[in-house]
Amino acid sequence: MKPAPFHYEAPRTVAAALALLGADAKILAGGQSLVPIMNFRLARPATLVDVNRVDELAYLRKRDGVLHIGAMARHATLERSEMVARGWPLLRQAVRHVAHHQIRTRGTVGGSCAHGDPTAELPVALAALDARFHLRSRAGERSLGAAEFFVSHLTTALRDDELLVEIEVPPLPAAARTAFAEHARTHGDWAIAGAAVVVAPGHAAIALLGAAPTPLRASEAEAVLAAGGDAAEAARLAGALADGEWRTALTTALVRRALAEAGA
Amino acid sequence: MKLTNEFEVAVPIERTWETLLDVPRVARALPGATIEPEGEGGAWRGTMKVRLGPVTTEYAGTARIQDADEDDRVASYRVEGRELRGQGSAAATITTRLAGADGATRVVVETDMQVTGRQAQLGRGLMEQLAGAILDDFAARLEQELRGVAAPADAGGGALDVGAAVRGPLIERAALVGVGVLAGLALGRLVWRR
Repeated sequence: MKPAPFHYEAPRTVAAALALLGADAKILAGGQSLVPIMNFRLARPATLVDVNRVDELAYLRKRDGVLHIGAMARHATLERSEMVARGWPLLRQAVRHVAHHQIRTRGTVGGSCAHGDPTAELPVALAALDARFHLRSRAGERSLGAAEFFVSHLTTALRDDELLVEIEVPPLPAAARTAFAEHARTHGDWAIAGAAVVVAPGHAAIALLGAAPTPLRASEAEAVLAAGGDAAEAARLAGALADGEWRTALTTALVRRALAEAGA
Repeated sequence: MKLTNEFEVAVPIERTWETLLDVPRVARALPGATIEPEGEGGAWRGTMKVRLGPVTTEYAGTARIQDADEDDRVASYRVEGRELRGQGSAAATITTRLAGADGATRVVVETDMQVTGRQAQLGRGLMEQLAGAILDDFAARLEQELRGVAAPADAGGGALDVGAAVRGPLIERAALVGVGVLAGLALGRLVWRR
């Protein structure tokens, strides 16, 4: 199917993009989710603001140990970056599960976050990494943690006049190990459940995929693990956050697998 | 295929770093390359001609900065291209590492390259020589660019004549392979016409 008619704008700067945003406008990043939705006529924005030509948003930078991901950095760029693999291996582990190579070539980190699909891999990994989301509008700028940024199914804290410009990821604790595990019916399909884990001496982060309408941190399980508790117990506590018997069983098994891989 | 080049410029590390993050300036140092002045979403479109004796290959594609580690002064670039006339492709991840000392900068350029198509049939040894020659030239031109000297305009329609750069024991083999490739192409074409 073809999308409903829309007005198309392709600004080259963040400032020009912000000037175009409003209630009837939708931002087009990599288009790997929005375009299919528009083709099915589920979304019918009056104006499409294509930010693919905005140079200033496509970067991966490390400064003072902190990773700065420009919202238009592609999945494939993140996947290939040795800098990211060295400092934040969880991001490479997670991005490899995102759909297929072709989609990762176009899809963007910012687009994936702004779309807010609870089964998307990167938002879950970013939640486990305590990432901060920088939002900008004509009125100013604000920054949110994953818990505030992701609101519900396909819903984020982004207002109609706001653009996600950067995602900031702090350095991992010393001697941290990370892992990502998920279950999908076939490779590249949407995941049904999954887990991103970070384990270091005195530190544990477990973020769940598919257990809630947003990425979900299993704080009780984290506390158990950070205190030197049993990985099986932590996995059980994390799994209990998912609804339904089979989803709990699946989530528990995936957390268990990820923790084992991270050496917990 | 991995290759490493090294050079030193009498330019402070800060200025070298800034220059290296300017894609059009870096791309200008690529021999036989042309680049569109304006980028699009962090990617710059351009073309690059490589000539090996009678065989000229022109690639069209994009160049972008993959990541920039400001703490360690390591930047990597991703360059991807397809043959304008042909089925082949070439892609490379180029990583530059900077180390400063006494107002000078040591630049280590590591290139990880994949080539497919007709060019790949030249064989690994020759390909490495070819890529090595391109990179040597690139490093020399980049050095000039960093020193503030504009890169010299190309002779011969902008294509780097790699044949001239890899003279020596290789030239015979290059010629043989070149003739082989041409003969193969000619044969293929004859057969195809029928």
